[in-house]
Amino acid sequence: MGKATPAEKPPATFLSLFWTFFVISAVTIGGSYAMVPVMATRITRRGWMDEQSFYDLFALAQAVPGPTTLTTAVFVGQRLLGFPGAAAAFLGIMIPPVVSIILVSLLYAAVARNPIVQGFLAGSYGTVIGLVAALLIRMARARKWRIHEVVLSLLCFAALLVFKGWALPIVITTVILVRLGAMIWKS
Amino acid sequence: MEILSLAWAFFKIGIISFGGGWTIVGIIQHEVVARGWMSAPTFANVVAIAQVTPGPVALNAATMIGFRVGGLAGSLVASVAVVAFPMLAVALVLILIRRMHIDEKKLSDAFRVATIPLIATTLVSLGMTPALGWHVWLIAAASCALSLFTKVDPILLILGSGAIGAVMAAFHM
Repeated sequence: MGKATPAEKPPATFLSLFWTFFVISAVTIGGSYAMVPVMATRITRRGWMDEQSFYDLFALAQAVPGPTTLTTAVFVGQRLLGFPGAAAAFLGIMIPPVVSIILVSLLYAAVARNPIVQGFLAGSYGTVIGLVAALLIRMARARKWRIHEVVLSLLCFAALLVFKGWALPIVITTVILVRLGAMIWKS
Repeated sequence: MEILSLAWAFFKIGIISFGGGWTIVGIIQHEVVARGWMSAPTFANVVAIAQVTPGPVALNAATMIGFRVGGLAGSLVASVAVVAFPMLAVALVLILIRRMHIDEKKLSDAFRVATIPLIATTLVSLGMTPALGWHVWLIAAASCALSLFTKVDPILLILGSGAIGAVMAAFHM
């Protein structure tokens, strides 16, 4: 939205949004949960959005199917610049992997078996694990937990581990129970 | 016709792909191996590469399988098809929030109770990858601490740790 930031950082434009998401998508390895902290840092550092609003949109992106990186980025782009922003985010996230995968497919044998490439990938994989752990800690600390929410969250975790293909019904049930719990709490 | 069935298969995958990358990869495996487009071991290779190439894992897998099945056209068709429904869903959610005056804050706050365990399960499956070297765990612990306590750019962490891994591989450590 058009709120001016105190630091007078330039507002988001189609090109700056596209470029921001393009870079994030081009250098981030390991999927959504590794990309989300990168995205949060880049977006907040540019003064486009505070961290809390960003993670709210990230949580909302869990409500729709599809790669979470892409859906989060499109929600962020839409919030900042309406439809052009959403389009810029979509293209920025989509182009690097599609292009790089086509190249990798062409060079498959040479790239995948090179020990130095594999060493690079193993090293950065470590950072991916570390970033996901940090994201988990940060998100858990960022919200005020009621007792029933802690219990539901742990139950949801157990259910996700046991029933692997049932993420959607488990998530929806958890969300409904959280809202019901909040109503009971109030009354 | 191959292109059409590719588009349809990945469109369907997009519809049920809740829960982000790793859930989607499981769905893709089921669909692709069942159709005989790829053997299970080849699929495992594709996933390994999709995981370490930039971009969302599910999108990478779709692009790569599309390429294997239908060349350049196949890769573009599969990539667009897998995100077609998710983009419709994003538009729908935005319209619903606006029309029905749903309190977005409360909704996303409730979603966080489920998002946090989803991330936890991702962490579990990332950590269960077989044969991770000791340096990978050291890098993981250091990256986690740096991300929590400093303002270092995560992109630098990823590139830096990759460079450490490449140097170690070059010297056979």
